[in-house]
Amino acid sequence: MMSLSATNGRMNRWSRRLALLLTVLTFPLIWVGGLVTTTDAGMAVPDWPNTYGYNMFLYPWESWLLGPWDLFIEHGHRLLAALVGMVTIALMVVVLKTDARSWMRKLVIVALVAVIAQGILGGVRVRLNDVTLAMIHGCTGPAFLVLTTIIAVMFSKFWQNPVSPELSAAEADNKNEQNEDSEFIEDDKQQFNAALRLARLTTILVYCQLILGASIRHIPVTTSPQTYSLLVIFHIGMAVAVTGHIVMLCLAIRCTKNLPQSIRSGAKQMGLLIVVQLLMGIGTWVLKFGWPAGLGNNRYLADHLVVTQGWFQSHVVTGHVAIGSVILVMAALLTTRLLRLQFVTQQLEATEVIETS
Amino acid sequence: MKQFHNNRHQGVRIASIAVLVCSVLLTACSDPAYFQFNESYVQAAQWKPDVAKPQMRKLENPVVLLIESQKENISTILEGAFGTPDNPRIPGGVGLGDFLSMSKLQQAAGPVERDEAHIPRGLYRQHCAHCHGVTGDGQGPTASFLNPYPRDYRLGQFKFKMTDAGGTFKKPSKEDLKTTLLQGIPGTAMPSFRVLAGTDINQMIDYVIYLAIRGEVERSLINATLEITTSDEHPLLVEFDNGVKKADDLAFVKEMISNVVIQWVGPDKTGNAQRTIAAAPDNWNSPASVKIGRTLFFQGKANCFSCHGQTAIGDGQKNLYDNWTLELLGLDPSASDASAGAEADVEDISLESQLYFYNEHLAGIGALKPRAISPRNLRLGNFRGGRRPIDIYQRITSGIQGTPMPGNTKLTEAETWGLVAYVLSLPYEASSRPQSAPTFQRDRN
Repeated sequence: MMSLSATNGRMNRWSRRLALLLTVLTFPLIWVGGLVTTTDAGMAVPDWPNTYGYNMFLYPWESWLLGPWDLFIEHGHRLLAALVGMVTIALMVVVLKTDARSWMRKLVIVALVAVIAQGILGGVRVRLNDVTLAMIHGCTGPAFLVLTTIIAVMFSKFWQNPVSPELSAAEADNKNEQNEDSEFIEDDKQQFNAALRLARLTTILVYCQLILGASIRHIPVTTSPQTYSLLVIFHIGMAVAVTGHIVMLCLAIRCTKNLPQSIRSGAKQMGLLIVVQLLMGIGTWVLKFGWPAGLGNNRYLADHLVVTQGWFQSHVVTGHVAIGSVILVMAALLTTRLLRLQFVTQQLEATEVIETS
Repeated sequence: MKQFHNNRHQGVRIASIAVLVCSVLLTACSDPAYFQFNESYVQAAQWKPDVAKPQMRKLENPVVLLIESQKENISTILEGAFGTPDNPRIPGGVGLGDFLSMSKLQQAAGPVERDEAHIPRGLYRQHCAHCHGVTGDGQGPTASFLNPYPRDYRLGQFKFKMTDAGGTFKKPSKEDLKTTLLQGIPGTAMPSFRVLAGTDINQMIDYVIYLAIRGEVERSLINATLEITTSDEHPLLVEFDNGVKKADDLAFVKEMISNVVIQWVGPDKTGNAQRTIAAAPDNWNSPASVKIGRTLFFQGKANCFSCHGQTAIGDGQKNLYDNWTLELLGLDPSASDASAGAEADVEDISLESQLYFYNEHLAGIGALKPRAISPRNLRLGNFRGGRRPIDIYQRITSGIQGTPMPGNTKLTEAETWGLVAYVLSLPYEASSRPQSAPTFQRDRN
């Protein structure tokens, strides 16, 4: 088994921990960011980078924790974002000092640039009070979460050793059993390629869906009903397409032999999440706009009252946004792992060919 | 080769998705907020029903068509009197000063933000405009998905209020609007704002009234412009360039605004008073009272079943329209009053003919497609204007403005309470029970 680790083991552990911490912190940042939009708290603090004239970090904690809810959310979002920025800097420093992989060094620099750009985008959105910038800020956030997840995967044990010894042995046994039936191996490769293709496409589709969702959430009040209808219909159509692709991806991974358990379980989890997400989408609509009129002749549905910014409404709507980001991350994670597996398998095959010859 | 086709197919899919997403995003980028000109009312006011074929509309006199300079003139007048969505203004000298608060309007108007003292601004755009539109025209982005459509304030008509009495519709009081905002309207997209602070609610109420007054004034200005008879082919309502005439013209406009404002502020300038309804008699919901109500439900004196249906599930009439829709069909909503309801003679007209005016003149300018209004299913026990006995009493005696639900002034107090008791008992009555209804129908005939 070729070793793909090119770093000092002790320091690499710190890089891995920091990369993991960065991902773990970025997800709640996305959730709180969603809550900012849901509760219209984006302009709760009218200045930036200060908070009501104070340095962001020196704003009195009593005013923050005991003040109005929207101020609590917005200022909390800023502080959490600052923490994510600091962890990104720490990760970059550790990686630049300890990691020899040039692409990894570049990647952490990209991550730092991305987090700074995202922060500035959020700040400009406040300074200009621009809803379109808020929408872009809402779309680039999940993209940063994908980046941090990919970085975390690159420090994981899977990345260093995607083809486990057990799996390699099983693969070798399979090959022996089939007497190197080339047609069978070719089928297996095609199945793997189909799964990889679906994983890539699903990632792109989920991100497009996320952009559409952000457009609907940040719709300017001057937009015509016709444009909004188009967006909603497109969002629903895309939900069907995404669900279909995730189902196909799950089936493709199920049918592909010799895949690590982490990939199989990742696909299953994504399949479950899309069901939850569809239910959350329906819940979001009902909690915002009530049941469709056709269902109004049911006593219980007719009694449904929409409560603006109620606890349930705020958290279901925000949950729909956050779960969308999780599905995106899982699709990207699956793609990254499949790509890594493909790369390492090809490397191993090439090594075998050289050794045989 | 197969691989090449797969890749190309995938590429085409991705490219088409990207193009669609980009085009939708570009469309979503919007102009700054501004008050939309009431183009659909211009169409409705210009095109009158053909006397020979009432279902068709024709232009009686091509000269009366409003041209762009006249529309601009109206917009300039409105901006001078009412300001813009970011900087609202209360027209002076028309009696609005004590009724609407400028500071409340300023806080409700404009983009969503907080000032340095953490006081919110832009409450209307935050909570109302996505459905009711910046102009209050009921054409916010979400409008086409909602049923019923969000209210168009510009007609100056509101459904649920305690100011109507004696067969006359009046403008709602601030308390009426507050009740709707706090309680919401169950079964519709109109939410309850009970989570918001009381001051925020009061600011939104003032802004909604401001938009309604502005909308009604706009309609009056359009009518007045169409009615001017001068030697000029396309006369302006206010000739701003003519120093002598300008003062007279502005005085005329001021009078027009005052005529709208007086309906809101009432004689004492503080708004219309809510009606006081005497407490219900002790036995208002006794079995005998319910029986009286049931009899009235199917008799001509109350005639409820003709719309709400013999089983009271709201299937009596399907071809009814509210005032907002009548205008989209090219019919005159002002023809209805409280005792008659907004029933229009559209029953014998085919759906295609009903939609002719909308399809020809309004669909192209983005007006929402007309929808028929359903009488309430009384067996749900859910009443949009409130489920207290007093709310039902008010709906029966005063009607619901803008809808075919008429106010009944012929019933005695005991009869009305009997009807209230029967309506409130309907959710608990087996729906098969009204089998004797045809007998009542014969009585009526």
